[in-house]
Amino acid sequence: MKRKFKLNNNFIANSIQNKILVPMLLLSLVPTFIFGMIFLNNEIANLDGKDTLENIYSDIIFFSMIMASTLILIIVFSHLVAKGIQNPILELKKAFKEFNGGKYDYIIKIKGHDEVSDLTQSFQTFQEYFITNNKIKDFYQKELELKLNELKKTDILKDEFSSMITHELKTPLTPIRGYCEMLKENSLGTLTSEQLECIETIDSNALHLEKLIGDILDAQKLDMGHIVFNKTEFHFDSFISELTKNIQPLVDGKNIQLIITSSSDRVIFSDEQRLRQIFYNLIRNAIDFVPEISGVVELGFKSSKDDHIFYVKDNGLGIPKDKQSNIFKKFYQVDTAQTRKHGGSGLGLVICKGMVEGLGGKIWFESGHEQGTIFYFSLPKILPVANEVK
Amino acid sequence: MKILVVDDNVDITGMFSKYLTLKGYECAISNTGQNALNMIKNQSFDYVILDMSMPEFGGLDVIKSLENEDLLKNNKIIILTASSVSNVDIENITKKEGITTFLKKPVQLSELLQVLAN
Repeated sequence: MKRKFKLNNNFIANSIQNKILVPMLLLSLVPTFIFGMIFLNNEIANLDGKDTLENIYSDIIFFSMIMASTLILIIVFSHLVAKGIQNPILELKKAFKEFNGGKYDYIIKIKGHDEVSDLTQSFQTFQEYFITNNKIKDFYQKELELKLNELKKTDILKDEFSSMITHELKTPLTPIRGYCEMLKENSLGTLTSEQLECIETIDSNALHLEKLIGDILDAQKLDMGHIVFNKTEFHFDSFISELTKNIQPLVDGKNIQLIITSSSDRVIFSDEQRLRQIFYNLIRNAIDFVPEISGVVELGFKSSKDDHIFYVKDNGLGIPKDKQSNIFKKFYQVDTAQTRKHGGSGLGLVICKGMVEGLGGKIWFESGHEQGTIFYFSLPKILPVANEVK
Repeated sequence: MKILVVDDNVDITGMFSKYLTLKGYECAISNTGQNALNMIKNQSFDYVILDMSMPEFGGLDVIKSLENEDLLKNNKIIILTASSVSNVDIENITKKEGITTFLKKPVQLSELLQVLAN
């Protein structure tokens, strides 16, 4: 940020010198010349002897010498006067030049109380102000850099810490769920129905914990951009029938009707596992919010020119208007009483959004008070390169 | 069928060995990577169930050591992971000859049985 002040050559200094020197020369030489002429005239008028011509010559020489010395004196004097005015200006000019070159602390000695010294004084005040401001700016810049580095380090530590924590939390679940599985299948002896019920409760809670940890881990991976999508080609119909098997346990024993509308055998090129996760999260959400007596959850797809559009619809209470803008925010839960009843990390929709967007699609919803909610998401109709060649 | 279970968590190796023994497999356990490496070199196992994250000498170190001595391809290793290793790394390791598959913790025992049966 180099500032440019244009100050051309020695224009000002020269013009000062010229403006002083020329008039002074004129002003002093003209009277000397006139005075000399009058004197010479008198001498000629008073001529009386033979040596007059010699006298006239010596007078001319005398006056010439006076004129020459006056000339020299005037030049010296005017030069000194000009210097006196010129020097502070040249100094100021130099200070500006140094300032432009980045040397902000060039100091000029201020002499006298004229306009130039006032200007110099103002310039020095400006310099001081500039230097102070620069120091403040540098200080805050350094502070900012330090804080930024600290933040970066903390962020890395946070990621490492939560990755470590999720790992540490998952490890104890392995023997818990393993022994539950063994006990449930009577590998360690036949259990009474009461014992079996206890084991099932332990196992379902351990599974819930596992899902919560999984959610945190996924949200964290999405945040860090660490999720790798593994896209393959698969049939939507077989995908849906697999998915139904996975979600059936969620509705078993509840008065919830699960409607699946999938009639076309469309082929999708996407990450099957992540798509299952998106559907699972949306369906789990829908199940949590439908009425206990006559819940309806419907899933399927709508056709579109460029995208596959999927939806999950419920007949729940709907999302209140004032809460709609927050539902894709982390840890946000619409109805606390409801979520307290069902549990959940408040990350389900955040993960859905992250996954859908990561797969190149969009997620949105339609909801009205007591009209239920429909979550839509789209995935682009892209095909693997090999297929395009065919 | 002889199986080696490697995990630094005693409860996990205990649980696996109990289950696999119940299912009729012969089962050996190791709670450190270094010990596991020695066991793999000196004995022959049909399968090695290997945890990735162990202190000091982890699953990845065991695999690298076996690879360096050109012993990896002689083994059938099932990797156990708790997602602390990124997916890409796991996928790259799984591509290596000698690595059967990877299972994410907590492992479903029925899933493990399926892998062993195949």
